[in-house]
Amino acid sequence: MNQLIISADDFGLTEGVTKGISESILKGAVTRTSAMMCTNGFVWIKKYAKGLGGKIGLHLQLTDGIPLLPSEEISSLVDLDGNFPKKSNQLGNIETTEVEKEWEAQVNALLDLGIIPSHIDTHHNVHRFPKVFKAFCTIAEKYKLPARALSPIMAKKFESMELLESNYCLEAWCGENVTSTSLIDYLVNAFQSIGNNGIVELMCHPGYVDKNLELRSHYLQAREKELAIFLDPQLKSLLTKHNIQLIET
Amino acid sequence: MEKTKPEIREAIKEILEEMIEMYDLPTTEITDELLLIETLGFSSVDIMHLLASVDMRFERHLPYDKIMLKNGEYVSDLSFGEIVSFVYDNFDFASSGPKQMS
Repeated sequence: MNQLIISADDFGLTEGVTKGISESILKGAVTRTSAMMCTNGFVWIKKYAKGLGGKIGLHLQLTDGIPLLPSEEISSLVDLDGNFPKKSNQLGNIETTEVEKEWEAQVNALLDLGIIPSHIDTHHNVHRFPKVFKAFCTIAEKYKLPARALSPIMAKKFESMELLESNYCLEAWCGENVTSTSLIDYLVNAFQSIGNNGIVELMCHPGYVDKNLELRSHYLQAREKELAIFLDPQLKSLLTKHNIQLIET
Repeated sequence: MEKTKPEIREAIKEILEEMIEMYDLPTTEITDELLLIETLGFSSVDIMHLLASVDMRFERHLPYDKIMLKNGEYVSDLSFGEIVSFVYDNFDFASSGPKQMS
């Protein structure tokens, strides 16, 4: 049986996104989410986390947000205003030790909200960069948290650490092309590529568009398209028809 | 910001060495002939991660589809030297950064 984890990124980005993700789990096919600690979204996270026990991980941030630690403690990670860079290619020459300190603070912030993270991943998948990956492994190891594998060699590393959940993560189902058909085609091809025997994680971004989102993101209407697909009761039947089983982690 | 080819080679070599260390890959001498898929066990995704790290190091967005794709298909392998030459040849034409989701 092919097994599928559907992970919604960006819990806490805006209220509309957080509400949409919560609905996509409670009423739809999404299996879990990961929460952002650097978006001033704690109120929304607390409000919409109800009923999601054990299904909320930590969406570690180094981009597109306000760090939790003071700038002087993490000077290699912030711009002159004390914010993270907007894009991952603006990270520049970062210090791994500062990433670890900031991410420790983000773990503790989620724990302070009363949420024990089920897993970790990163905003903009910044752990693909070696210096960031080192810190990511340190956090995963310290807290024994399963971690998102972005490639086969990354999966092997997590397997050696006994923190591997899925064979790999599908990152490219997004944008104008999001339909139920494109989703099924994408998944069927992915499972075929691993010999129809394994666990795949689908990264997604369902949510409602609100004014706050319009101010901070270019990914807007496609979030509502994704949400509608995951809320469609026929999706689970389609997955079953293609021998794909949704799994809790 | 101009870069010489030796500077670009050294920067990409450093990134590759970090990846070899982080992923517990077999230690190997990094030469221009080193094949990333055949020798290191990279996938095309890993090569993209290497290239994204080059973008991050130089704050550029190089047109990597030109080196990764041939006739609409992923290339079967790339050597270290091919990547160095590609980055050097395209360095001054790169845009300021990739589009990102949020």
